[in-house]
Amino acid sequence: MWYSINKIIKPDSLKEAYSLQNKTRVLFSGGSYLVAEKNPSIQSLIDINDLVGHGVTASMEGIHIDAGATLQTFLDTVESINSECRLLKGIKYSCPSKQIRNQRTFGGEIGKGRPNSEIMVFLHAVNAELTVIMETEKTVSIRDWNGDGIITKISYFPNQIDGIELERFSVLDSAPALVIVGAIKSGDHFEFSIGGSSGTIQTFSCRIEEWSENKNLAWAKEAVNAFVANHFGSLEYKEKLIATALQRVGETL
Amino acid sequence: MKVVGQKTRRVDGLSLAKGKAVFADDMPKKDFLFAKILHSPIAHGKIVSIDKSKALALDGIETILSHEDFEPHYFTTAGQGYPEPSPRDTSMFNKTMRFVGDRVAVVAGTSLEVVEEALALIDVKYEELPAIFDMEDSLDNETVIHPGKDGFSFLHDASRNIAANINEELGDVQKGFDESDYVFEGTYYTPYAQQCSIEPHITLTWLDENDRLIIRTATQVPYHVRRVVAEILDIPVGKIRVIKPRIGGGFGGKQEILNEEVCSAVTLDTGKPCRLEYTREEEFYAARSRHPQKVTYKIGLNKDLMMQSIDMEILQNCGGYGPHALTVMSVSASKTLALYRAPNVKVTANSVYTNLPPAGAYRGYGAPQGYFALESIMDEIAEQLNVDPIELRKKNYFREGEEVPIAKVLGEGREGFPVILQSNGIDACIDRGRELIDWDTLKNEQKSGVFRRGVGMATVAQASGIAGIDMGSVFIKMNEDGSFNLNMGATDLGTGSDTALAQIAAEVLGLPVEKIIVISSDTDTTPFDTGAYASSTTYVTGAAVKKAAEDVLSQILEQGKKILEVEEASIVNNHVVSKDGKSISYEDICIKSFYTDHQTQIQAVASKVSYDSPPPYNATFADVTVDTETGFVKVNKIVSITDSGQVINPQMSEGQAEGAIPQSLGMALSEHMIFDDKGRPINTDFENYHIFTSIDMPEIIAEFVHTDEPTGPYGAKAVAEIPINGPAPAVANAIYNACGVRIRECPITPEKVLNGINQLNI
Repeated sequence: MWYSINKIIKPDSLKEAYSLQNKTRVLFSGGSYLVAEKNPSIQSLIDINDLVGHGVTASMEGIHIDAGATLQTFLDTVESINSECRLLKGIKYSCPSKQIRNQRTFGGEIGKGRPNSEIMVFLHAVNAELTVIMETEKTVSIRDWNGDGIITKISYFPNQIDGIELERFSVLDSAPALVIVGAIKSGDHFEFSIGGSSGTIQTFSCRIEEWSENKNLAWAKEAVNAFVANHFGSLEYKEKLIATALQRVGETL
Repeated sequence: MKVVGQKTRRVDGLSLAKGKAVFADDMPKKDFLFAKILHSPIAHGKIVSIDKSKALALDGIETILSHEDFEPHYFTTAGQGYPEPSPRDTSMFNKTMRFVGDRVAVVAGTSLEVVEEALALIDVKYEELPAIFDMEDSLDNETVIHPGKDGFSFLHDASRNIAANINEELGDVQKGFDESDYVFEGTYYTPYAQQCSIEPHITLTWLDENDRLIIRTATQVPYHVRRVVAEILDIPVGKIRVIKPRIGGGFGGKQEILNEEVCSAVTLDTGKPCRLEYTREEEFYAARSRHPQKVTYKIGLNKDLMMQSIDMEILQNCGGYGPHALTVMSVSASKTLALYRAPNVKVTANSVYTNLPPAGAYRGYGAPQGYFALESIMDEIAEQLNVDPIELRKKNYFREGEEVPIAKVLGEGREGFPVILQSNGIDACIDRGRELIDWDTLKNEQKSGVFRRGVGMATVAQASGIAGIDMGSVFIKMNEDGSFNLNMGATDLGTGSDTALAQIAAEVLGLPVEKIIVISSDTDTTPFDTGAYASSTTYVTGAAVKKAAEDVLSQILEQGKKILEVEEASIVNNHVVSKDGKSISYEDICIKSFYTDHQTQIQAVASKVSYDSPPPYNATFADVTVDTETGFVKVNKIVSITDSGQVINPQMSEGQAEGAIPQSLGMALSEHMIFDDKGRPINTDFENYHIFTSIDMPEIIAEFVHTDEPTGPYGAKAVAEIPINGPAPAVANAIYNACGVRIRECPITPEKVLNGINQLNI
């Protein structure tokens, strides 16, 4: 660990764990983000590893992922059932290192909420359902989740989706993407989730017949406001990338 | 040859594969103190006060050392021959901070955690000074980064912020331009880039039973470490032993005395063993990197495409201090100007100080920067004259038997030695690469659509060690079982040089490599070597190995003849065999020599300094696809063909090329260290600094053409650095071929490409 950590708390229940959280006490499961960051303001870790499930169940009706399941567990479970699953590719891009995939949990990945995580953009695109413990247990759409509570399960339902696409633009395959667009076709409409080097993941939707290049350009113009310029691209450039990604996934769907 | 030129298992392969304790940190550290550096948070300023009291009060903190604890003593951190050509502008702890990351203090304690806590408790007050972050603003700036002080030496002109300068001219360059039919000029930029060795800098120090200071460190230059630490801490060289275990990569970054003196100071202060390891983040801002350069080439040619004049101008950013400031840009010039023949050549170069991290040695040592410029402008010239870039190049190469005049002018910080080419396989490299990349088809095919494919190429040269400076020495002794100890100061930094050198010894002695026991890089037990840099080990130390092994072989023959009591004999299959059929094995010769007959230890020492430094050559071809809607570049294939003379170990030589190519692709497309407007580093991890990893790699074909270099051991030349010079310009040229966009600044980011495409309106 690091010098500011002076206590590891093992609560008896997730409700207790939830009540213990504050700025100096944070949840600990896989720990891959925490250890990398070594935030000196954190003094205690609340170990919930034994309180969350670690399994993945997959069928065409629904994919159910326990919050404690590692990214690698998902790959190992789903790859043999459906090697075309777009989330598999997203996981490999989000976390290219198998060693870290063996450590990093789905709950931690969502809790961290990286907008440049292909996993997050995918789960936003499919509008995954989160089971969350607070004072009580409830389910909430990932798009609506405000970060409060402890995630215990992530579910999404492929049978409600007619097509899924994920496009990413990164300087290298192993590098975090500048722009990620996840899209689904469901019934008579498209839904596009946009992430990357931005502050948040944004979702746009329209009826298929209304989708056009001009709509993409308008969405890109709006979405880029959440992005940051960095050494790999200005905002003007990222707006162009968003529009191109929207166009490509839309055309593919 | 039975061993040289053959694939051979690495002498350290099994221990590495088994995860044995081979690296610096692989030892019990029960009583070790952990040390960390407190780095400057400001880019330029003076320390007004340091209050260590709160940190020292922590339980477990043993010592905190800063500039107040030492008399100022100026040295260079560059691990180079003595006297070093780099400016002596650094002291172990400075009162003036010259970059974010400069050393303020070292804290040592019983655990890493308590040391990290102590770092946060040291109260340092600074008086900030104006800072310079742009090398183009540095020259003659009113802010002087190293105002003149007693103790500094070898700075070119401190008052103008010039750490080092080169002004050389051969012939009359202006007259050459006046007489040229065509004159072309271009300016090219390369940024800060990090070596990214998998093992960061790490040093462990302790006092042995005789109170000698032992330094176990990840270094490319153990003898320079010993000399420089002795000088800084004012202790005799004989009181220091430096051990270089296996290294997890160096690439020039460990051609530096970086933390060895600090860790040693803690041990001498406390009497306790100490360990100091950089984090990845510290590697980015407090270690060393590649010098950013702005290189302008002006080239004059006649209608027959023969070059008449080359004018090269370099502006180099050496950061807050000047390790390798002179020699890196000297190599930028000397290696590039050794490729093409022109009667008039001029070099003007300035290495200037800024308040950014000091740069240093990085594989290629200035040549990658120089070749990005030269091989880009060669492509531009070919395009503008509508000639095949390969034909343009072939017309202008130096050829076998010709002298390369620049080599004599630009040595390692002083005049060099003449180079007369005795082997040059550049044509064969080009012809093979041209075939493997399918040059003629891909270059000329119609470019259309969103995804456009193109090919580019570059030809490059390097050197084989530094003539008249690099020295290798070895000691070989025979054992009773017919094995031989090969002790040498040469530093294997993961390259496999221990194996290649063992192969040379084995070839001479007529043995399998398994009979050669390599012990290297321990200043107590192995003889002097300048270290692993400048692509010198195979060529220079290899020659010393061959010389010593030949001496041993001769002794074996003589001893065998004495034991057999014959006048004439020869060596056949590890036996000394007389004409009348009597024979004695190596093993029996050694046993008898030890215990019964003409008792002696069969052994030899040899040293080698070469006044030659034959250039290896390489042709690199790149096949890329450009996404014209986004500017993203996908490298499909790299073909790298090298003339390294006689390759000693083909497998490891291929490995050198395969390791160099991703580093150069990173230079071309993704790697650059960046800083905010206060000089603070921004991308200090691999999430934000993008190196090519295995999943990013294109298809690679790395081959070698055979030449026989008469000055090299068994005809060998160097291989270590040269494959890094070509990929970046080859990719830039391939992008141009694909979409017509010429980018003169690395890295060639997608946005730059897209902006270029938009300007072309394609």
